[in-house]
Amino acid sequence: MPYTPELLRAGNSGDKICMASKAIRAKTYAFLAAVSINLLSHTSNIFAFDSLSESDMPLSMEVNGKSISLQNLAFPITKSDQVLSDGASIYIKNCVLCHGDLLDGKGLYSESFYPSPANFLLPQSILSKSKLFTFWRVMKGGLGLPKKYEPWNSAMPSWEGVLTEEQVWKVIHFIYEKSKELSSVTTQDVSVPSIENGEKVYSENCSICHGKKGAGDGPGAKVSSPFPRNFIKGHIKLRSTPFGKIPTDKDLFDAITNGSKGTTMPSWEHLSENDRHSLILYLKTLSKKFAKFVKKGKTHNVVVIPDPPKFTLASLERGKDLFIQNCSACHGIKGRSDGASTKKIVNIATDAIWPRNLSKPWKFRRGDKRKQIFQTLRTGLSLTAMPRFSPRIFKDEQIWDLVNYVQTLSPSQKPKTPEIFNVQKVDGPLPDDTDDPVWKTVDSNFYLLAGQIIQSEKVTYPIIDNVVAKAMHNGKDIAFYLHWDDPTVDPILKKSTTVEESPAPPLPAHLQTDEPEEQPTEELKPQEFPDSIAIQLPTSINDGSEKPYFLNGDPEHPVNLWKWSSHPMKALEMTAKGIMKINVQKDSSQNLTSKASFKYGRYFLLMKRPLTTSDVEIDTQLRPGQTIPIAFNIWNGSAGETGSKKVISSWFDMILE
Amino acid sequence: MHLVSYLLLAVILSPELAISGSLSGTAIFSGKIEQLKPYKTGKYKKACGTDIPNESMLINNKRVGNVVISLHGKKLKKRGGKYKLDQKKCRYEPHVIAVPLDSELKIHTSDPINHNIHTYSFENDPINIMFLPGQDAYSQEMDEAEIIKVECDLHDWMRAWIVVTPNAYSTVSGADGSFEIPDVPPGKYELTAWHETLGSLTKNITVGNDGLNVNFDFLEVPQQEAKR
Repeated sequence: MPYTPELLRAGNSGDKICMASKAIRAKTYAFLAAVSINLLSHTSNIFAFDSLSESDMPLSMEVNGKSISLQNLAFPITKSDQVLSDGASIYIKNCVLCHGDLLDGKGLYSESFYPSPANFLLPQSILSKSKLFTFWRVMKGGLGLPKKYEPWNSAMPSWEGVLTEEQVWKVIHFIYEKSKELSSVTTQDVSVPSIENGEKVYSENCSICHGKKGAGDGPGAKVSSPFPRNFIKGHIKLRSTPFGKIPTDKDLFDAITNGSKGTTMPSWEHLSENDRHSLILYLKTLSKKFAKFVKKGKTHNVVVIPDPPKFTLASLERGKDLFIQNCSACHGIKGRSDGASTKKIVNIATDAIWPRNLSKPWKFRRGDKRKQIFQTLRTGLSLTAMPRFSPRIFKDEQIWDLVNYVQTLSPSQKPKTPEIFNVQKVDGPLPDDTDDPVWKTVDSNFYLLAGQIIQSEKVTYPIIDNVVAKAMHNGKDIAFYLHWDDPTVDPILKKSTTVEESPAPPLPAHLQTDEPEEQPTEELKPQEFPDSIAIQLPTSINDGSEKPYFLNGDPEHPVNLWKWSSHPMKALEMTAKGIMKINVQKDSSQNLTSKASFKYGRYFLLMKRPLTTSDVEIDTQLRPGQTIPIAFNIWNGSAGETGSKKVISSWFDMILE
Repeated sequence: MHLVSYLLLAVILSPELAISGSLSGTAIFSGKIEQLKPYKTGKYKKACGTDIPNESMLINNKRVGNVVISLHGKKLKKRGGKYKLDQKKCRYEPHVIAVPLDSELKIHTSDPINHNIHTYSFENDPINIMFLPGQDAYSQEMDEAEIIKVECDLHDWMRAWIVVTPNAYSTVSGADGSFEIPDVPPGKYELTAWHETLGSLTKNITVGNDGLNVNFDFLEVPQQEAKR
């Protein structure tokens, strides 16, 4: 079943408009409905969650050994202000990463899971059905879908055992109420922005994360990285003013309107302009810095962004030198957040997050346009280690040199996930190394990964978020090429394979010493948990219509994991029947060979196996021409990822030539 | 004449306040302590020197250096001043600096290599700027009382503390643990001793016309408060 990210994205981009006015919303719904019908006609069940009807609901379900009737259950909890406020907290702690703060299905992971998380604002969403139906779906999740809605690709967790029935009812009441409110935004505009109105808008929309008094300590804060901004200190990250200075009103307006990409802060463009201006007035009362600024008669020193000069190769060369000297200590020489000083500045527990991986400009908070990068360089990012490049030291021309160079560190646009992972057939032996130039001639396939937030121990804000995969076969063996960015290498690999780490910025010649650096006296030790990656394939490939549950299979539909680990360094074949039911196959069944290296914040791995093996019962047998589902799991050991703590992908389709 | 000037004049002319004594004493740690090893600068040898002392605990014969002594009391209005923090031989000079509210702090560099000074400041405007060799000083107004950690994002041993005290009656103990705050008007105050590693002690004191001698022993810091 091919998934259709382009269509889904078209659907998503439609939602934002739907908040603006009823008329546009109606059109959008018509458009979305058309899109959905279109989707359904091509690919059945892509909105597995939404396309169910109430007739699919069983008469009763079993929870904790107790049978609950779904026919005439009285809601055990009735709606009240307290219930709605409890429900909001439960929602923000458990649901927001997928379904989003605005209930529009556009949480952080919305692009990483297929089908996309449900958008509760759509008229055909689950909310058009009874609350009992929703209760069943929340309790049983994607894995509890009726058989005809396989392939169980839905990432919706089963919440029984995690949330109590009472909590589930509270969150359901909240979702129904909030989505009703959000999809009927009447432009009840105040005529003049006021602090009082700002306080009201704040408490209705912002306090759940930013806290009642703006200290960044609302219920959502516990599950946010980066933390929600603490307004009492008066600092925000993206400003037009220099590092450490208070933002202008326009900076605050832009922050509210644009949201913050890659965080749980959505765009609040659907609030009326006067509501947003009211919010600014209110926010400025939360920190005394703004009043002090006025009292002292200060003015904002807004950073001016001139028009960029023409791009030249000479500028690029200068940019490279400037980058290595001034940026590589944190961002690494290839820009993959692996600088020599990086580990020192990162401390997720205190909100000191990783420096941006410059090879993924689609994740730049401010945006990846040249003027936006210029502004980030000139202003710095308050509350982070990112300094500003002050005009006292760097001329505008030098900043443009840097911008030019930074743009060469990444692909010109975000890679698209292909519909089919094509495995080319070649004659003769397969390459033994990822360095082999033949890989340059092979299609590369980009897959997004998301934190495992479905079962058991979870990962909420992983640093690893995609993998690039290539493959070829020669009729006998298949070779996979994989690379993924991880800013820290398992040190033990330095003993056994190629490891290249970003050096500290070079010293001027007269300050360099010839003496070798003192060798670390301690012996290289492996990380507590290894860095690992696994390719997942169904153990049995039938006609491709019945896929195992995407999260490591299920008892009736096992999967194979080809898992490479940094320590002990090898690749092993495993059989899994669920996320906590993964077993290494016995020695005589192991057929994988692998070769890994680490270069400047990126792991490279080659894995090979014969297409077919003698273990026909337990091993995936790969045959050309078949559509083979493939998925990926990655563990970042240095971040404590092990077992169910990992990043995961949905199923994708692979075909061997 | 401006009201403030009248007040100022009143303060200067007040006979009670004109008499003032000196507050002096010594900061010690009477417990056992392990001497910290200096950092090795490795490849930065030529730029920084081979060793950099670990100044987070300078104790000589039980006497504690780098302790910020600050006096707290509503009457104490004297503020302001000009202060200097240098980046020299890959350390901050001084390692601990006490600056009164409304002071101007000038940050310099004397080093032949880049430094990135980063202040973990929340009440005052934080600083995060790159210093290239030979660069002009950078001035910052300190207008909120705060203990500010300073680090260089490029050299992990580099650390300093800027302590913005509520008034000008503050000082930093010398290597022999001794300190002196001159010209303290008689009265009742709180006197605080703060050390980056050992923690913080506060005493209620009464300063007479001929001053006062106060000693601090950091062994008295309650265990859970000491960062040791």
